[in-house]
Amino acid sequence: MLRFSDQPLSDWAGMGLAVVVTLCSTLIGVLTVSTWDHANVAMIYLLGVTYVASRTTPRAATAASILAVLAFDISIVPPSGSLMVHDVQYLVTFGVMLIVGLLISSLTIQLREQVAARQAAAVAVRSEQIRGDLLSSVSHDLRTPLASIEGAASGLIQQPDISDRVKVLAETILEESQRMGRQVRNLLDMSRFEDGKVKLFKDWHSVSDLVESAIERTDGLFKEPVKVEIEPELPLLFADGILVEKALINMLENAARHAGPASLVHVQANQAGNCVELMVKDDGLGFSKGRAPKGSGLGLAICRAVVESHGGTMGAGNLSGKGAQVTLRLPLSQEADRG
Amino acid sequence: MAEPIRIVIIDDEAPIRRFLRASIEPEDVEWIEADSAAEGKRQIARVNPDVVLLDLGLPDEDGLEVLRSLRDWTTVPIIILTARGQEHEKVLALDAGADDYVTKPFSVPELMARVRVALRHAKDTSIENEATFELDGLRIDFSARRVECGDEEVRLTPTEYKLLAVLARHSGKVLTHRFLLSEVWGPGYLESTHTLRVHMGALRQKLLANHGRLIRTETGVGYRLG
Repeated sequence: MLRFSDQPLSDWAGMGLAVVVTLCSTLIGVLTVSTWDHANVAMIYLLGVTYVASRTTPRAATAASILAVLAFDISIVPPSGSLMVHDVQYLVTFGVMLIVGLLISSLTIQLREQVAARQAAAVAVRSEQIRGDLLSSVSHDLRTPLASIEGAASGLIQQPDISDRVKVLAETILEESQRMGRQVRNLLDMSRFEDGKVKLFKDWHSVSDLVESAIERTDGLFKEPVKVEIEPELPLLFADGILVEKALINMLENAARHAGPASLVHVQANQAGNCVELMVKDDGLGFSKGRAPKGSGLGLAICRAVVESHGGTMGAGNLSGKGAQVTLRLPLSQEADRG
Repeated sequence: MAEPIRIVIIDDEAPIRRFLRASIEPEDVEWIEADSAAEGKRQIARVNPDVVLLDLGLPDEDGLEVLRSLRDWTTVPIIILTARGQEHEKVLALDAGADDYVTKPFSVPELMARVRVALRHAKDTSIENEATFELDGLRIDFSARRVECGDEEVRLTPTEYKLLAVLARHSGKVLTHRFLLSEVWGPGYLESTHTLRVHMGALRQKLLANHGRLIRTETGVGYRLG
């Protein structure tokens, strides 16, 4: 049996191996040519080519095939010591030998690559399982206590007899545990996207429903009410509503974080060609040069993943006056008259 | 002094049960705790509660199964407790007879608001037969099929009126898309979410900005009035 090493030798080492193996084959050939038939000696060379192919790169294997033919010609086929051939039928032998050598080396290399790919896939599946288990346990282990912390803080705030000081402390616990909860959720969402584990549950959604719901869910992040402008007669979106809402929530949270809770935030939606454009604008300092949209936190990375999973695009930049703008472009369904 | 509300809470997380008990005065709520489905069913049969809070992720039995087996013999209001991202399960539970849901993490006021709505609908079935409905300036006169926002009459199509009427009859409760479709359009239209969205959009626009917002979207689940 041939054994396949995990890492094939480099081109140069492979060439070296091809030379050494050809020399060995030639040695055996020269020693046996007086008693063996020439066809059998050719087999020794082919065995050598197969060995080289199992250890090296395609290029080195090809070199081994050619070297084998040349060495066979020079040292075995009469007149030995030269490329000359007396009997023309040897040209056929050379041709067959070269073809068989090349064929064997390419098949051998393919086989080796398949074995390697299968081994890698098995490792990937195993590490994927470990990662998935870890994620779901982190999800449970972090979110369960957070739910109790948040709930208990909300219960404390509503007690009729607490002082203002205690109330402020309880509110701090509540707000920060909510923030941590959002962060944990974002981490889990992002890793699900990276693992390709996100399945889309598409249905018809009205953009204004999604925008209103996202604003309601981020209630408390802004002091000023969020301004909403949605183009009338905007077609329905055929999309995963939960995910699009998640993207909108992340855009709003991003605006709150970077422009501050006192900023004026503006949500706009309109049709642009066969896409719906969803824009969130703030009046903060905008994206600084070092803070490219991609590096500006997990929130926008999730937005991007959501839009791309729907075949859309995301853009982010600064407004000409003051503030930042993030735009999602989601394609409208081609089957818009269904329903 | 009114009797306390008797609530059976079935949740295997002891800290959740503990903070709820500590947050609410014992004169207001009498808590009966259960940490498993089996214990929960036993307690419900024993104490005949006003409301049941059911966590969908119990260790000994699937939450949906618990819900279905409870619905075989009791009409007690059941509010399910679930995590974010389980919208599909929420819809299944609501369609299987749950009255409402609360998403963990929830706050005490949020939970108690849901409990009160469920109690109102369970205790006073006449709500669903009253001649008029009023909420924040939105007025519906069911006998005259007349809808007003503030002092102005709003002209609705028969479908829009039916949609609003169903929401109002169940005000405060979340209604799934399937439920609304079957009530307004009939059981042959359960998958026609496109139609529902279009009419809901039109209805909201006619109710004007402030009143249209009274109908809240619960993405992936349904709608709730108020």
